[in-house]
Amino acid sequence: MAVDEHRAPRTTESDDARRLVKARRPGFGIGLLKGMAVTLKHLFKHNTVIQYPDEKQDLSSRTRGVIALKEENCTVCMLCARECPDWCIYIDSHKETLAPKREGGRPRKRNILDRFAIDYALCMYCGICVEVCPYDALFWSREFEYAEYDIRELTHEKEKLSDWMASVLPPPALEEGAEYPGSPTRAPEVADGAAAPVKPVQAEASDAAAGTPERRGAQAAPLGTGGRPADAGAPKEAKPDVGPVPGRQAEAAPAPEGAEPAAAEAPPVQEEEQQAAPSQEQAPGPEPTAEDHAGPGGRTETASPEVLGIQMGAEPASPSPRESTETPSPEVLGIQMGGGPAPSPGAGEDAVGAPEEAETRTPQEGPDPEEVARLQETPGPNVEVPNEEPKPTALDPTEDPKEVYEAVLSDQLAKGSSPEVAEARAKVARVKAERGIARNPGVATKEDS
Amino acid sequence: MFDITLATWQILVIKIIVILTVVPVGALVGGYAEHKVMAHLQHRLGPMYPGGFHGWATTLADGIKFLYKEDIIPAAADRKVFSLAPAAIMVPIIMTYLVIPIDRALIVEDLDVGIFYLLAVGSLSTIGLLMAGWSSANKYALIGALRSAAQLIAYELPIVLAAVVVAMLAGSLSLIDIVETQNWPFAIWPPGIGFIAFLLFTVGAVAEMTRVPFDMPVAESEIITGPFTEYSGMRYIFAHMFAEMGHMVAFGGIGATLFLGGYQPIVPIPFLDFIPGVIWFSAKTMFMIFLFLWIRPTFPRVREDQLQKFAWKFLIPVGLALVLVTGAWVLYV
Amino acid sequence: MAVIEKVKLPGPASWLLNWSRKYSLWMMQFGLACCGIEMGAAIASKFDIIRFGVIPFPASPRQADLLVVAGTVTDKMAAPIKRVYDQMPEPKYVISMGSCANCGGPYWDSYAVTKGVDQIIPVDVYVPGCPPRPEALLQGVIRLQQKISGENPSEKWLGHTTPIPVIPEPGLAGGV
Repeated sequence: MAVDEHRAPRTTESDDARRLVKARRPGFGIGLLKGMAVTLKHLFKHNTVIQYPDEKQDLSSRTRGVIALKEENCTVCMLCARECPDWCIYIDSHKETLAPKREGGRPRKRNILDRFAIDYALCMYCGICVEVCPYDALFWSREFEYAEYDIRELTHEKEKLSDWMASVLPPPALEEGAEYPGSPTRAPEVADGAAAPVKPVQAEASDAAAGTPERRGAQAAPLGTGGRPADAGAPKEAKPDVGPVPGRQAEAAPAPEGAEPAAAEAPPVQEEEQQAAPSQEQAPGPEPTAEDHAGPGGRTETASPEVLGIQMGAEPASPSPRESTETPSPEVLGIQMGGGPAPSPGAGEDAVGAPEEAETRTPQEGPDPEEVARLQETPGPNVEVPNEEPKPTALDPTEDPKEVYEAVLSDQLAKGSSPEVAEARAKVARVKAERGIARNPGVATKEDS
Repeated sequence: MFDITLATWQILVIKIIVILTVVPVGALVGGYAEHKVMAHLQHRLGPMYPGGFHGWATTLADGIKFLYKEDIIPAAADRKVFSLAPAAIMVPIIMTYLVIPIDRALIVEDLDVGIFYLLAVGSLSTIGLLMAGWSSANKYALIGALRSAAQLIAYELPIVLAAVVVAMLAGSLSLIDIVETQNWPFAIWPPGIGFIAFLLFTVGAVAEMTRVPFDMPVAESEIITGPFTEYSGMRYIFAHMFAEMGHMVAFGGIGATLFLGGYQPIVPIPFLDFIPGVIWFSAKTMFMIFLFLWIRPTFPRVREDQLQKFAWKFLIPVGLALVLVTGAWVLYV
Repeated sequence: MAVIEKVKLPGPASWLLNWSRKYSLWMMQFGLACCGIEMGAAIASKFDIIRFGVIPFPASPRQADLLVVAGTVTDKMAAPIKRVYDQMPEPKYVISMGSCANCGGPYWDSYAVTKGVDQIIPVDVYVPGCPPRPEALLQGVIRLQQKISGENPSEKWLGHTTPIPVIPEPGLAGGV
């Protein structure tokens, strides 16, 4: 019996063990012949060689070949150089003072890029610079053929880096079922990654804003009680009649990879806001919405004030900045200062077509509110005054914060949000209502003032 | 055919020139074949750009380049021996070409003791390898030389026994006679005996050439390049490249002669007689070379002790038994 | 060598010598880090560096023409690299592969890494990448071949430092 018990497991030995036993059996050289048959079979199979210089592999669209520079987009913010783990990016610039846009304006200053060089001998191809660039000036290209005889030649200047832009791929197609960037629930501008730098400025500005109610009046935009005027300019961004979308925006769509990472970061806030916003407003104005949809470059007006503020900051080249600039409230100006000011593309040479992106990126000193106000009332010759009435963007001041809270909460819950999210959004809505901030500047129009 | 009478020395000069031309050309072609066959067996293409058309000139470029590469002799080396060793390796290999019959009339020297000469000369290059390894003042070279000496001695025996079988069947030591007495199913006749002798010869030849899987003397993962570790430039190409490739072509020819019927047509059909013997011989030689090249990318390298055990405990007893069986066959069948 | 150094070579001889060196680059593999993997990929079936006549077989530096330093050159490994390079017979070439071998790369501030293999041996071609693609190494080889075909053999071996004109070839490595 003992023997049988001992043998029992052997009848159920695994395949591997059985194969092993089989392999140990004398094969009289059959195994050798099998091996030779294998190699002989491969002799007649088609080879797998990619004959490199003659035929080239279709590399993945995410290949990290070389970093290309879109020079017009660079604002010399130095983020890439500072974030580079290898310190292999060299940037030189100088400041230029430009004549004021209009009579009596402040002279503008902007940074001019003198040198942008990447030392590819040192670069570790981590892509941090591409991800960190807030203005989509750096892109991955699939180009990899740039071996050199001298290591000094591996430091490529901006001319060469710009040449590589030609090989940058367009952005990948959206996934099935994904919303097109132009749909009202998305604010592609936020993808620029400028959110972080802008926000603090915004916060500061909101305090200062309280003291300038007359500006709001002048703007004819009801800003509610304490209004954050950031939204005042925003709706206009999407107006179809503003003219060609300047460069940055135009390429924001094609500019893919640089924008993607930042976008991934931004959406949560943004989407929450956007979801919350329409629901808060009992009667979103149909007209603005329609305009939003028609907006060039997929601008959205449904974004919440914060989002729009970010947009304005990050997106100085947008066609509407004119409005923003003239927006009476200092908040807006503060935001512009933080994110980079918005020169008016519709004005002067900009209107001709090719927008000068370099100019649009130029940081601008914030004009004081009075000056802006004056300008608003008497626009300069190069100012294109929008022929539309400004959109009402503020809340009904009579709205009860508690009601808003309840309404948003129930609405969110009905939409399927988790209780926590719904509550958070409702709180946001309540706070906004208390402070008179428009939750949804694009549609929040109960009454014109 | 040609009504030309030549003095003995003239004939000798011509023969020397022919041999000295055939060996390097054979080595270059063999090297190219090795690159290409091995590459295709491994799903690669092998040389493509040297020379333009499928890299035909790759070994030619190798040859020219090595001729003028810097010739380094290590400071601690025994200069004279170090310099002579490549010749000592190369000359015996060239000498094996002398007695291989390419056609009935195309043979440099039809020695009566052809096969005996072949075996005797074939084992001479061991001395060259030992010289190279010893004089290099390099421990890896010395280990490699000792390994190759041990290996060549061990695998010379199966070859000798296989050749003895063939000689017994033919009743002659002359290679021409051996070819002439072979009949149609060359390698597999007499039943069993011929084929086993052929396998013995093939295995022994691969080991003699120190090719995979028996390339312990030049195992680059253990002892760099064995006896040739310190050789560079022209000496290297003679000691290793030309020697290995020349050896391979020579063994291809020997195998074709002893076992595959040499210059005879592959099947005994009178219709095929119009094809000259050179073609048949070349085809059979190429088949043998392909066999050697085929083995190389297929099998992994064996261990040194496995190598020796395989020779002494398996191949040689099998060879001895085969000789006995062949004797019986010759006597009673 | 001696003859070549003293006599001015006629054009065809010079071409022949350059051609033979160009298409017989026996390659000493010095894989030190992840670039070594890419170097292995370049040698293997998909890219097959042997197509260019770059033969990756030699195990001894005595038979090598081309040293590919692929990977991080630590200070400890610098000595063996220098030694291997010194053991190679002239004419010899060096490809520095990857950022680490070029100038330290990610280890630019490490106390233990040599900031570039060109600090210890002369480098002919720098292949950028971290690590470079196998094709990038192949392109480095092509650039090296272009460089070789423009060399003046006697000048090279006399140690002259005159800049070597690079003969661009249509189709890169194609043709004889």
